[in-house]
Amino acid sequence: MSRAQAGDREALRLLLGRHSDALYSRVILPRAGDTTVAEDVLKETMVTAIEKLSTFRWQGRSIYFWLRQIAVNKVIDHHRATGRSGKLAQAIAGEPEPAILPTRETLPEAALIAEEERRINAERIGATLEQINPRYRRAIELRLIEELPREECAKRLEVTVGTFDVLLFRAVRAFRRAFGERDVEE
Amino acid sequence: MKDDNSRQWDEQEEPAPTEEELREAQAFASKVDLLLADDDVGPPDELTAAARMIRASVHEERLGEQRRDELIEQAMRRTLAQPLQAPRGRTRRLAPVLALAASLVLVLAAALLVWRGGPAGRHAEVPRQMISRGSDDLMGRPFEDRAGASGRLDLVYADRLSGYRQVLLARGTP
Repeated sequence: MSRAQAGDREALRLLLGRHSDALYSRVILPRAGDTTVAEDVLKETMVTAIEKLSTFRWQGRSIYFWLRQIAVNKVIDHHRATGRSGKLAQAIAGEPEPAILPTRETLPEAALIAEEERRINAERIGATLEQINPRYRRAIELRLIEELPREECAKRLEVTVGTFDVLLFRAVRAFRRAFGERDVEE
Repeated sequence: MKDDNSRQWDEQEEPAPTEEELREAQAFASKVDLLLADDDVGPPDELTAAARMIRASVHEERLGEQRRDELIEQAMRRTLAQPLQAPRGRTRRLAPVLALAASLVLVLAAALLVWRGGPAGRHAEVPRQMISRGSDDLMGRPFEDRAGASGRLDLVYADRLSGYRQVLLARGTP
C-alpha cells in the first residue's frame, strides 16, 4: 500500500488487480446491469482511486471499503447522468456498507466481505421482488435466480412456455419499475 | 408464436397478451437465454439490464483476467501519464523567459527591501528596554553546579517578568 502511494506502478497494478474483480462482479454490475457500463464505471473508479490514493489513510480495515465507496458513487453518478429516476440512485446511496469488523487484509476478511456483499445484493433484489405480483416474482426466481430452463419454469408454474415468456417479460418490467427505473411504455 | 392458452390469464388482474407483446416477450426470452449462457446479448436495453442486475446479484459474473488487466492499464495510463507530459507549444517556448522574468522580479524585490531598510533597519527603532537581553548576560557561562535546567529557566523567567513589568508600568517609555 505504501509503495503504491509512493508511486510504484507495479505495486499500484497489484493493488488494483487484487480488488477489481470483486468491485466489478459484486458491487458495480449488480447495480449497473450492463457489462459495458460496468466496465466504464470500474475504469473510472480506478482512475479516481489512483488520483486520490495519497489521501487514503489506513483505518484498520481493508482499502477495499474505500474503493467500494468510490465505485458505488460512480454507479450513482451514472444512473443520474443517464436520466434514471432519482429513486434508484437514492436506493443505492442508502444501502448499508458491508458490516465487517476491522482486521488486517487477510483471506478470511475477503471471504467475509464476499459473503456480506452477497447478502446486501440479495436483500436489495428481495425487497424489490416483494413489491411485485407473486406469480411474476416466482417467474424471476425460477428463471433468473435458479436459472432453470424455460420449459422447466413453465412446467412448475403450470403454464405453456409461451405464457411463461410473457410472464417473465412482464415480471422483469414490473421489477424494473419497482426498482426505481424509468417507466416503460405499456 | 401465438399464446393459445388464454385460460392461464386472469383477465381481471392480468390481461391476455397482444400479438405484439408476445413477440417482445419471445425476443426477451432469447436474450435471457444468451444472458444465462454468458453470451453477448447485443446492444443493451433496459429490460435486459434489469434481468442482469437480478442475476448478477446472486451469480457472480467475472470480468476476465485479460479484460481486467486492460482496464487497469488504461486507468494507469490516463492518470500517471499526465504529470509526465512536457509542456507544449507556446508555453514550452516561453518557459525559459518566464523563469528569467520571475527571477528578476525576486531580485528587484530583495534589493528594494534592503534599500528601504527592511526588518533589520526597523529593528533599530524598537526602544532598547523592549528588547530582551540574552540570558548569558544574566548568568554567564553555565558552570556544572549552576547548569540545572530548572534553575536557569526560573532565573530567565524572573528576569523577563521583571522587564515586562517595567515596560508595562512605564507604558513602554524610557
